[in-house]
Amino acid sequence: MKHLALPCALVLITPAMADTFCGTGSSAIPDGGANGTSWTIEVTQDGIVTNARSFITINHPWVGDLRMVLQSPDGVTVTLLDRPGMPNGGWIGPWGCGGDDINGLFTDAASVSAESMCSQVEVPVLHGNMLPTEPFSILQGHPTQGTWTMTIFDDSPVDAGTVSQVCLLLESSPDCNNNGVADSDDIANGSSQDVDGNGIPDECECPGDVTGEGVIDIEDILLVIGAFGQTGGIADIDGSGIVDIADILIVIEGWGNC
Amino acid sequence: MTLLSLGLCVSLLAGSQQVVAPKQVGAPASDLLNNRLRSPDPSTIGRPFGHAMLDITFDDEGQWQYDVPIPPTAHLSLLPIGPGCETWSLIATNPNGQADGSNQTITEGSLQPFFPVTAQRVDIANPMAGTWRITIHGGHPGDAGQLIVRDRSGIALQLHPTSHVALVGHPIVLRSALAAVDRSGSPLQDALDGLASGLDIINAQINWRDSRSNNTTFELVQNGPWLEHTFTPTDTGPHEARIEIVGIDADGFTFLRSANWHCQVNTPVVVTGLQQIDLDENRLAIDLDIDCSEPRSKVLVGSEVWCNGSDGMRPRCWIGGMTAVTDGRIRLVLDKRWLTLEGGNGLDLQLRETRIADPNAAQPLLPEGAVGVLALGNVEVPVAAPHDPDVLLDMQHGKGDQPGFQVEGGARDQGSRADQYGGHNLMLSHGYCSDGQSFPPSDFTGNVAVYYNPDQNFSHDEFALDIWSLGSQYKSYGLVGHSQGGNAAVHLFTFYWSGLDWASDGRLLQGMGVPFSGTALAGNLAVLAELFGIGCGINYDMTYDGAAVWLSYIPTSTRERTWTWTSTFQDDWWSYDYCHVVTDLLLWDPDDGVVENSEGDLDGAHNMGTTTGWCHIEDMSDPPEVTDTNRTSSMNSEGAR
Repeated sequence: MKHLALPCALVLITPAMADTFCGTGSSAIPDGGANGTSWTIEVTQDGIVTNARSFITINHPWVGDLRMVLQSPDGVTVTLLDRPGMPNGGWIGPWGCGGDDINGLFTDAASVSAESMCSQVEVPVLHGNMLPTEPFSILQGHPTQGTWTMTIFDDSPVDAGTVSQVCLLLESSPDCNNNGVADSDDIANGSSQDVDGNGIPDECECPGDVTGEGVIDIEDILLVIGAFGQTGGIADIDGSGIVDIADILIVIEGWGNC
Repeated sequence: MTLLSLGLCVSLLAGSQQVVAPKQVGAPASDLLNNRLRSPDPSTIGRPFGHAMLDITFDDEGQWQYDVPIPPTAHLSLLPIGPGCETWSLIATNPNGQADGSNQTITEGSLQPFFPVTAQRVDIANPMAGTWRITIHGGHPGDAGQLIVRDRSGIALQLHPTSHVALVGHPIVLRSALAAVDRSGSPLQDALDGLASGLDIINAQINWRDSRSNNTTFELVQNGPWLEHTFTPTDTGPHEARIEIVGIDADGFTFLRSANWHCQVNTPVVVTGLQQIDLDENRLAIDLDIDCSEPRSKVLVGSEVWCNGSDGMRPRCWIGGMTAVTDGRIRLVLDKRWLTLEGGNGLDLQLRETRIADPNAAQPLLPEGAVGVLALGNVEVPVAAPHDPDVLLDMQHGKGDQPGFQVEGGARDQGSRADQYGGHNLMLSHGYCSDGQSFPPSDFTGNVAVYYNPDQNFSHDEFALDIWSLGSQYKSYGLVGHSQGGNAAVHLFTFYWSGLDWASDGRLLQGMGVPFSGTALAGNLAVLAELFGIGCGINYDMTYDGAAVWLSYIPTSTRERTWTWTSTFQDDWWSYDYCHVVTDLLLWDPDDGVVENSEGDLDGAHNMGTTTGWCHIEDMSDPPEVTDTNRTSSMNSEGAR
């Protein structure tokens, strides 16, 4: 489909969406198990990820045992935690952080890494805003909709724990052409046209199909010609306020099946 | 000029598998005001010696004879010891020339576990005062030994150095005097009291043996109430002073006393500069440039921190710990929250009495013992005083972000443990020069790890790091240490990050028969062991002087997490009792055969008292204290893991 660049078109930016989705799963973390416990999070929100965060609550007497991996519906993984305190970087020792419990928000906006947030006294030892081991930005551009999985591993056979809450805070944008780039970005950077200025790339709709039949044909052009000179209405395809030659050209340009 | 003589302190960290992180130790000003973290006055550590050790050399007929003056006393003990002493026989002839033995008890005593022989000990009740002739038969011509003479007159030879410093080219002054055993605690007063009561030294000699085994004998000279000698070592290494005196009491009776004093001579370290670096908003690194005359990888440092406040110029905290020597520089870390907590405003900040010591036995390396004042200027202090317990732990232990030390990864175990790899254990440790037999693991329940490395003469630092090496297999552990194992536990928790820092609530550091303030055996027994060519050698951390200096780096925060027990023998009224036939003559009752009860307690710790009917180890008169299930069951149930 070809597109026309039309002056004076009204450009609409589709706003980013944000929502919180909490998961379900087995609370017990297999101790020293290779599989861990997987919590699934069903996300109905369509679009692509622009930002993600995760709020997690775990009771465990030795958080240095724990790994946490988030997997997106399309299979991209992000390691949020990888046995904090390991490998031995100094005072914590060769077995990682021996503090109790996790109750906080993993976010790229934090200033402190969960890996380095260890204390002998504070409970929960990992709390507040924490930088994940790998950034959530890895997920940017990947689809939101579908089943997300958070798997919590306990890599040591000594000390066991439970998961009580796993939530995903997703910010997303529509991506109607599924190119991994937000529609608004496609339009803004010129990789997509939006002749009707409705914020939806033209490749995702059929602006010359005035009748809405799924095809641009003689009926569409007759309708536009019949309304020529009128103000507004469905024949004013480019939204210029008047049905004119530009609208006819859009029909001609898009002639054929949408 | 060799590389080693360049006068630089270079790092020796290299070539091993594991790295231990040192703590940046901090302590409140109260630890200075109660003197726990101040260098102890060496004169107050002076020990009473109530015995004499006489050299035995057999003549061509295999006989040795000596006239020994004995003061009025209720009891006299004589013990000849040396290779082949099983065949020796001792005859004690009283001042009237009688040797009927009617009031003598002869005991054939095994000298195990210290020496693989039996010896004949003669105990004489109410011996006549005067000169006794001691004759020993049955020796091989030319053989050597020692005769230990111990009376119970209560007169002791007091001996102390005037400084803890033992450095090449710097004089060491040893002072001696006679005093009653029940002394006042003031060496000067004791010496004056001794003179006032008619005690005097009529002959005194000191023999110095340097690290090359050269022996030099000097006469002690009078200086006020003391007899003293000044010796300036020219070589590094172990030195031994042996003082032998002839004393006289107010009634004109003479007697013998001898004392052994040991030190490890080092080369001096000099502070040549100072820098300050802000590590973060709370912590100030104070780097000291030092000039060493031999390579050093780490040193033990401690310093008082003073600054102004509304209450004037006062001590605000103590900082110290083990620190790496990196390119001739060592680091102290000050958490400035101490200043706020202790009422300081950060103005006119000073380090005072900064000490630098060898990690082994905490022996001073600065020629003056300490640097009096190092001015740091004014620093900003945090506004709010911290009270969060987590913050206080940070202030006491630091963040472990300073250079660590490589440790040989030779984790040792007994092979029959009930430990939990990667888990939480109660670790049992034996002591110095042990045969490995210590707390029976079967007397403990749950996860129990056993530290086993027999026949070693480790400094506390070496011992602690060896325990750390085994402990690195575990997430966390509490320690139950026997004898020096208890010292090592305290040392480990104070100076290094380990599984101790992650142990559960409970008694973290438990010790039994721990020579916190040293033992006379640390030096004397080694002297005797030389006769047999066995033993583990002198342990400078456990001499009275070495122990006192080491303790002056142990803060209250560690002591409060320490529980310690002592033991002594069953003393029946109808018999003269002791734990061990030899060590009884070198120690002051009550003792467990190795550690005097008074020296087994730790100021500021949970001192759990003395239990009668137990001795230090096997082969003593009462069972080994580590098998006392009344106490070990408590150690087991209350121990942190």
